[in-house]
Amino acid sequence: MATHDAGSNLTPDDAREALSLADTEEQATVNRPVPWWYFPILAVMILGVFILNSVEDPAPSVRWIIVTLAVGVPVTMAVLVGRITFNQPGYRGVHTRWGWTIVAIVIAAALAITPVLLAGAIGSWLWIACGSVLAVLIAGFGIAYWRRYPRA
Amino acid sequence: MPEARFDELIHAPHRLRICAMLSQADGIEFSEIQTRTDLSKSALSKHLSQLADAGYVAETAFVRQGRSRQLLSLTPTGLAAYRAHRASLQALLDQSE
Repeated sequence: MATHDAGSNLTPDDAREALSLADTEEQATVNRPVPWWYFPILAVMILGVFILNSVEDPAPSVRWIIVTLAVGVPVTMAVLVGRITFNQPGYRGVHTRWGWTIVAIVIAAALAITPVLLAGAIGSWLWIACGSVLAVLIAGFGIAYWRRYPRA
Repeated sequence: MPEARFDELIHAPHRLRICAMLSQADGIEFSEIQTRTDLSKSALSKHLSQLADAGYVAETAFVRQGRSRQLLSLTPTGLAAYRAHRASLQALLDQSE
């Protein structure tokens, strides 16, 4: 049972090793492995949505395609994120570490809002520029994440 | 900052790993813990029983996809003990530096 003295023989190296072991397990619960294609697909979809927004006055013959994609891609993205992020068999209520999550949300929101506010004055290419930056960030983060937490 | 208190029961490597993984979720299934620790069913059951006897781990039975499963979670006492144990390890490291 719990004691104050049982750890008195512990060396700093033992403590460091035990803390490292605990950190690894905590991280492995919070950062669940994802399929390798998850982040690249997400990046492509994000870029697609931004490109769709950059299209000005589409011809009537392609307008319905753009509208369908403009609705369909975000819905598909939402389903994908929901299934990968919240559907982890074997786990209930994995704790989210909000620090970096909030930073990522703020960056994504800034890149999404910028063309909404400025594309009219600067040009619709701003949608493609912001979409490309966001897609690269997602893909880059995804590659780093997948290397660190590969699927077992 | 939790009170630093070394806990011999938690300090054993497999039990430390189990407590650490459970500390970051509301519950993890037995089979998943077994996969991650690479322990046999009987060995894992023994570790979990020791933690449950101390009041550190709670077990809930439920059915998913037609199969009965066990969901393990840290109790508030277990979470406090785990955090206090971590704090004691950190304190030892801090003293040595």
